[in-house]
Amino acid sequence: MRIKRLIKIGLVIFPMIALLVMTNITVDPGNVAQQSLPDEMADSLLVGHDTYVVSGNMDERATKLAILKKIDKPYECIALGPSLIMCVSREMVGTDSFQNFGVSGANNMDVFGMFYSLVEKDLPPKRVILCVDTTMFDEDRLLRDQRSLTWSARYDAAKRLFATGELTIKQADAGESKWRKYYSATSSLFSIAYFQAALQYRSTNEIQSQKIGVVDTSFTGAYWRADGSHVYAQSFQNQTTEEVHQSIQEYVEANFDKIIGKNQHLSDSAIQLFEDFVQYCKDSQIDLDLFLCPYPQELWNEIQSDPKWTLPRELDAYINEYANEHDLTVIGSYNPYEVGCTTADFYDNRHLRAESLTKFFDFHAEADHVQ
Amino acid sequence: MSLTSLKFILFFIATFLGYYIIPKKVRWCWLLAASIAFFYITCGWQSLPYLAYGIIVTYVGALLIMRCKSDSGKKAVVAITVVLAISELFALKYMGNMQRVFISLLSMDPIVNFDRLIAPIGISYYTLSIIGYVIDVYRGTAQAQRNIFKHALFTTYFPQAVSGPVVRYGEMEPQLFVGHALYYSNLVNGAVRALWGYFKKLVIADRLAIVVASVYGRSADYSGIYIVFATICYAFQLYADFSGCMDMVLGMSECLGIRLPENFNAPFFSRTISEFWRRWHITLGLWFKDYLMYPLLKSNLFQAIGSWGRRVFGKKRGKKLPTYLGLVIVWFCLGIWHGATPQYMMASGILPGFFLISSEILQPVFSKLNMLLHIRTESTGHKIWGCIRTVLLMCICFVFARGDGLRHGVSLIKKVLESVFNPKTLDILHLTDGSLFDLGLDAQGIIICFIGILLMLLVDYMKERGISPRLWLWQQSYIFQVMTLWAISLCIMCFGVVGQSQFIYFQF
Repeated sequence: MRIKRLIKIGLVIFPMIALLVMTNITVDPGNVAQQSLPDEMADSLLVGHDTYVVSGNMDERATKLAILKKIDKPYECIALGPSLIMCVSREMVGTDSFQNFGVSGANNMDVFGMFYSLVEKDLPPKRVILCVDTTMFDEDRLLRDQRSLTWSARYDAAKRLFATGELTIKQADAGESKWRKYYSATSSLFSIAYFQAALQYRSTNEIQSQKIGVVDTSFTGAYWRADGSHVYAQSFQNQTTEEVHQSIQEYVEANFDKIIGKNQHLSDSAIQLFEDFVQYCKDSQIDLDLFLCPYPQELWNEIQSDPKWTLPRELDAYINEYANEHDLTVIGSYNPYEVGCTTADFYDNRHLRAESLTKFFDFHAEADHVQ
Repeated sequence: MSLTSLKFILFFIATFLGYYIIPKKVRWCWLLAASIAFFYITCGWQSLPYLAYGIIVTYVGALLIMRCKSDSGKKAVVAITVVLAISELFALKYMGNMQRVFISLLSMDPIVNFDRLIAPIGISYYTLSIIGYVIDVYRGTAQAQRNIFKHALFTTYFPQAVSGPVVRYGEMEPQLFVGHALYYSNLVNGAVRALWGYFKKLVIADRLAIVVASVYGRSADYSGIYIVFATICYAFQLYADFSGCMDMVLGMSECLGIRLPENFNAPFFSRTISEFWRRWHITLGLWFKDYLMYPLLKSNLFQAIGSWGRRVFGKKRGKKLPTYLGLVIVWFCLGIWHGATPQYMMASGILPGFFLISSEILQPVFSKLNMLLHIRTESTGHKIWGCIRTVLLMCICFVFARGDGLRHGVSLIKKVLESVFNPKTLDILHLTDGSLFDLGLDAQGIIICFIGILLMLLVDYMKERGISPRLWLWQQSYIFQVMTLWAISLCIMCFGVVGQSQFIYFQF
């Protein structure tokens, strides 16, 4: 082909690609081009600042990894699990030496990968509050969830540790390979979905060079507290009970099967891993408390009435029986009627309000957790 | 790996660059490697043995046919090869569906769970292609391929792997195994066609899918007019989805210098059901016509039925009996091909077959009526009415295709019919009271859909009038060309519904 023709093609293609990439880079609502953001975030949190991300989007797992790399003293207590536990704070637990390692949609890779990182650094906590949820017992989800690959090598090492007590030689920054990180960031810059998000973000926000900020009294957005716990934006907290009810209904109709999976059963390997973990904690004199976050009543009724939601029903039966047999401390219950919470106690389809966590549960170490 | 994913686009760019960089002689090897990689990435290694089975069975079958000297021997080899190839398709694709039906009917426990078998992507399409190849070798219209790797490329050629078209060996052989030079016209024509396909899929089909899913997902909450509206939306969604997929596939293949057969020819401009099926999924219809319908009509049994029919029903009517019987068998097989569930048997077999056969039978009655009522069938108004009538009849089939099972489809049709006797619920003004915005699209989304459909129909209309839209574009000034392509690209970038769904025909 002649050069002239190539130039003709180039004139059509390159302005479009340039527009796509430049918009994605300059607006960057998810901070994918800001590879140093997790480190900056971890530094700010570890010096004791409550910190927010300007765009509202942060790679939670990368930030927790940065925190794990930077700490040099063991915590007295840590919280592990999905977003259901992310609002648990040092005041609720009753110690300043507390870090919340909860991340959105956490599965076994996240939970045990993070725990292993602490053991690997010889900084095991004295107490672990583990939020037990269906995500930890769903094998399909574990296989398809790409977000948790950050922890995959540590997760494998954790499995070996719990099963044999053997600490594998220090992992390099294994798990998510550099190539995958690079591909993930680059593909976002060429992503049309990201471009649309950037346009949406740009239409309502100014582009700022500052990516994170320290929370002051006038701040009303979502932020992370210095202890790693999460505070939702005021607008989210102010949702009415009717709005929450609506969100639960929509969740049941549209998304519940994607989160729970129809006719799913507890994974045998996940049960084995969980039991190995419990045994490891006992052997290592680590106090383990299980937190069972209640479902909203509407969701609980749906789970009880529709036979296809096998996973949460099986988990409820299993975890209570296992905790009873092994004398484990259980905080809460999946059954909202048992706890006494109503739709008004939730932010949305699943997340209990911070004040309701305090109202219904006592996370203090010496508390009588039986409600 | 969806055709709309960045991963696939990168995969295609790498294949394209590699294809034109390496020497011409080995370019087909590169395509084969890319095709196998595509199958591996999309379905995993578990599906590769099944793919190899289909390739080996038909490769050996075709060679044996060439070597057989007696006609009866050749017939036996064809029969065995076809049965072996079809049994794989049945086991991987249809047994799971059929098993579910039998389990629910007979409350039995399955010994083998066919749902666990991982079928290679596009198995329904490539199985037809390789069966056609074996029959062509038997008929002597194609030579058996002696190189198994070349045969493997014919089977697995990746752009067509997702949803067809169903290709013939005779038209692919001269193109696949020669290294093509990079031509400007192939590149720009192919790229523009693929871009148009992305527009149809991402801007129109996946946006309409939101409306359709809202109504069909909660059909109990909606009155008859909404079901009619959602079904018409589904007709356009299905067309934009499938023809968009074909535009991508044919466009990308054209970039590699390989022209695949057309699968659509402006079906919404069909005036009769039979014309619709000649324009919709063309390669599938032609395959069933050439490899099932014609052999059936030529068979001794059908000849005997024809003779019997002529004796019993008279010469004129009786001679059509074998044709009708052949059509029943073809549509039954088409229903099975689409999924072998009661739902798809109804949507893609029984109903379209019934419409087609009854329109053939009633054709003389309609002609007489037109003459009696002095209806000018060549008038524009009658032509438009013909198109609308055809689409509405097809919408009855689409209700079953989109519904959640046969019962759901029946209940929806019942609801619409009940609405006919209660005109309030069929009042089109219901759609103007703002409730349209509760179906998942805002005003902007509805306008985009509307303009997108108009553009799609305009392009089809140009084709209908014998104007090639791409040729027309190249005849305009360079600035106009660039502006048009930028406009399409910007529409995809700003309004494309990305990361949402697979192609509808992918499931077949």
